[in-house]
Amino acid sequence: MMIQSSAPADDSADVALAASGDRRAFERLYKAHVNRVFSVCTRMCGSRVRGEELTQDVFVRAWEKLPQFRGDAAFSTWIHRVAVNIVLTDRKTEGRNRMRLVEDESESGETPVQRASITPTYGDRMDLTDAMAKLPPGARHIFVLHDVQGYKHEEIAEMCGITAGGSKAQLHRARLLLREALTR
Amino acid sequence: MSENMMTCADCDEMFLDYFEETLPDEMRAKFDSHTSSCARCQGLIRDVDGIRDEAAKLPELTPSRDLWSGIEARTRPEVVSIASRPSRQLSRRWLAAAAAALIVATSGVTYVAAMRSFAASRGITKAAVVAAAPQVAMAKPESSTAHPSAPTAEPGAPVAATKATSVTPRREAAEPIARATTRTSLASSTSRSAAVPTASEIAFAGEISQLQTVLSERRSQLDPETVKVVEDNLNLIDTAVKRARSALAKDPASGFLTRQLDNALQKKVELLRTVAFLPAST
Repeated sequence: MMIQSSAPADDSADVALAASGDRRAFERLYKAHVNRVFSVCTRMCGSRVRGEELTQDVFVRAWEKLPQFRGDAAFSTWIHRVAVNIVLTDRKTEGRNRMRLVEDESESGETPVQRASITPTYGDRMDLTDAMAKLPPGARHIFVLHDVQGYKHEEIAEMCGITAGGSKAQLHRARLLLREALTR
Repeated sequence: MSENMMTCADCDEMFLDYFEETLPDEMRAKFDSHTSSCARCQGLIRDVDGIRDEAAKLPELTPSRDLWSGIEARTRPEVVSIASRPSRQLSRRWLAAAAAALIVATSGVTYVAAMRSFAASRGITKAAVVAAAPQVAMAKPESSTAHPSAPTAEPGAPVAATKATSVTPRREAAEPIARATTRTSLASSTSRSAAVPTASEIAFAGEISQLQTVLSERRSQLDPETVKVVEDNLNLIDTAVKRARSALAKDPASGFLTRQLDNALQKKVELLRTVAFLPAST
């Protein structure tokens, strides 16, 4: 897996401290990884507002599960996987999410278009990020995981509970939809 | 599809494998042959490659607000304030009240039933009395060497009482029983006052007191031999209670000792109940 990373090379000391309950160490881990986690959450769910909520869920889950983290993989890889699982689980409760989005709209004052948009659009031109946000959720997840985050189809299939062939087909569909949206 | 020429529709079915680089060599050659001269398919490949490249280079996003405060709030260990404790205390009080109510009700029923049994005068055997306290009776021979932490004997052991024959009631011999019972009760009460009574002791105390009242009222109706067995067993039980309490004073957290004390008190209640229900001797 090739994942973009600006995280520190070795945060094993903070991981060990946080696993034993050191909240300051966990805060340092948060600061080191929050942007990566927020990026994958936001791009997979297609909403900044929801991405921020999911990012908090990821770190809360990480805090709870950290004592079980064995260190077989890097912490950055582990928490990235936690983030993907949180987003995929969240999608299963899509109906509940719709309700929440309606509440968010009334609370935050965001319009549906603003909510779907991750970055501002300029004129009528849609950039890749906007186009990704408008993909069907299944296709968007696969595209983000494969083309943005660098996961292999076998890994995606395992995470999403589909076959590797299904992952390839969804990815191709996503790319064609993006092309259509970007060249319209 | 002809043998050597591919159409755009043919290529559409192969784009997936093309981008995954899983096209067989022979097919790849035909695919390349078509796309090299097809602007539509070239455009698609160029656009998809561009999307892939751009996706791989997307920069990290930054949250628009501080998320840590929310995370910190959700991961903060739950602190149970002292103010919230009364609910647990209330629950324990309710349990204690329920236990006390149960004992009072049981005692009342026992008392009424015992009074009714006065009317029924049938034959009496000491075996019935002895059977009510098999553990205590067995414990007697070891009482002088028993360890404080093991105040009662193993359940199911043989009864030590040797007299199990029918006895003839003798009213004049009943008085010592009352005194003995009272003495036993007083000794028991005195020994309990030496240390803080446990919850079960408090719970049993009421029933024991009522049953001893019943016993003292019935003493004249019981056979002296039976009374002697009862007295011996009550003394043994009180010895066991005393030892358990003494051991508990040294090790208040011991569940084993608490259970031993409860068992001894329970045996005392059972013995007193049995005596209360014994038919009057004829």
